Amino acid sequence: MIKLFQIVWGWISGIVFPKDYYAWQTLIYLGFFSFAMSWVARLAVGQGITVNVIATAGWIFFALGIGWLLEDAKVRLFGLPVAPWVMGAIVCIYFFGLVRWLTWANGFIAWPLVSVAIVAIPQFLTWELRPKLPAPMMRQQLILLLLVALLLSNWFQFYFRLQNWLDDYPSLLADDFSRSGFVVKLPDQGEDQARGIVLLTRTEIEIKADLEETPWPHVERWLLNMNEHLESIEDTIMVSLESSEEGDLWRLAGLRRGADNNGYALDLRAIWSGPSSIREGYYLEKTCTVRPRSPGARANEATLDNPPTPLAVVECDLEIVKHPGQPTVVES
Amino acid sequence: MPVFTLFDQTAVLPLKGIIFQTVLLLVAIVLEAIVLRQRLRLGFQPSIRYAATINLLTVVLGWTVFLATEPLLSNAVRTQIISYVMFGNFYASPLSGNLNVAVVIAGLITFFLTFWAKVIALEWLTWSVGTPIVQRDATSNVSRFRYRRSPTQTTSPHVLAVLQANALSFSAVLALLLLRYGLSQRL
Repeated sequence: MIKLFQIVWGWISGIVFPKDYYAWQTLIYLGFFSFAMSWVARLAVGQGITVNVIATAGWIFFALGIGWLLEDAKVRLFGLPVAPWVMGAIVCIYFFGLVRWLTWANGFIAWPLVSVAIVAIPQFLTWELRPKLPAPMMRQQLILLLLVALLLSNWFQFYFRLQNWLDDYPSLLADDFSRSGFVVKLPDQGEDQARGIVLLTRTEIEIKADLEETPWPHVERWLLNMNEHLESIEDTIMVSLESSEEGDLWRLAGLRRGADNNGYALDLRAIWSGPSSIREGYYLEKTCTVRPRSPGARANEATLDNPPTPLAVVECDLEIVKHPGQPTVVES
Repeated sequence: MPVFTLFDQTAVLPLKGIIFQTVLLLVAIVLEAIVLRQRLRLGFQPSIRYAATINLLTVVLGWTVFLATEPLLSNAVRTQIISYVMFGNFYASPLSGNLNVAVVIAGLITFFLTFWAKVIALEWLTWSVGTPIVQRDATSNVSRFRYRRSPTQTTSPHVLAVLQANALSFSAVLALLLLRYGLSQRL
């Protein structure tokens, strides 16, 4: 047991206390020391250029120390040294954390290029820090490395571009991505993002506010001008929704059908004419029924020769159905 | 840390695109390396390295052009591109009739542009690594072009080699893309 402790202690002290000052541990300690000092300075004098300079020194020591460690340990991924990529990442985290007006997305896009610069710069300098041309073989390696880094950077950029598209057109997330040649959709993301569902739900609320408990003749007049009413409802809803880009791609339409009890059935449709896995697009449909309230409940209030004006009742299905294609009859 | 909140909203990842591009690049590099090796009598390793360099370069140029022009497009074209990237098809709109033609024309233009870029890239690459396959002309560009156009001068072998390599790799990539399209329609 004690022997095991000795071995472990020997191993730890071998890492923590290097035999030589010329070692990666020195740099990491310097980094920690600089961080500590920058905190001391921050507590003492608050924000200032000194604090930033000391913290910057800390980041540089830290990056170099980690790089040295990885290079020493010959950590490799697919035969490529990992050290410059980690150092590049540290540099980017430091730089893009410091510069507020650059986003982390920029940091990701810059990361491969920074890493290549870290590999390349020593090749262009002699030990006396004079500029030199690397050997021909090295030049070829650096060109290839640069191109691979550019490709990685482009892929990152493409990723962020995809997220921008989805911010502009959130309804896309409710669609089927299985036939895409470029992207896979992560599970449990954004089924409810389709603006069409919001559009129909809000329309239901607006229609109920307009018609519920109103005299039946008013309802019939409203239904005659239904398309104009729907247009104005659509306009108000679209203004209040974010993601204005896709507002033009949604269209609200209604179909009026006769129903039982002198009532009407309204098929409310949110028609999507934008990017879709179904070539012809699709539309979402919600059915509402508007009918006069049966006069029985109020019969005792009225006299025989002055029958009461029936009031309207609006009921909507909870379910919203998705149909492929465009509706064949838009006008009623 | 704010770096990680960056990915909270992630809904789609371009993984398929990255995998397909890697596979198609490897296929193109191998095929072009074979052609370059045969026609230019290069060694095994240099031909692989040259083919890898010129293909990576054209892919990077292609991405750069796409990423730079995409924000400038009109919404009608942009949404069609989004539809193609996200769902694998264009959607019905007044534009969609012309899109297939546009894709074919874009493919042809891409072929000639990549051919030209690869020839230039190969010349520069071989100069920069010190094993030139064509001598760098001391004379100006203008006279060089005039020289090339004169009937007695035959086209230099590296241009022919790159043309053949490009044609071969484009055919292979096209075949693979059609195969993928066929499979995705079947499923």
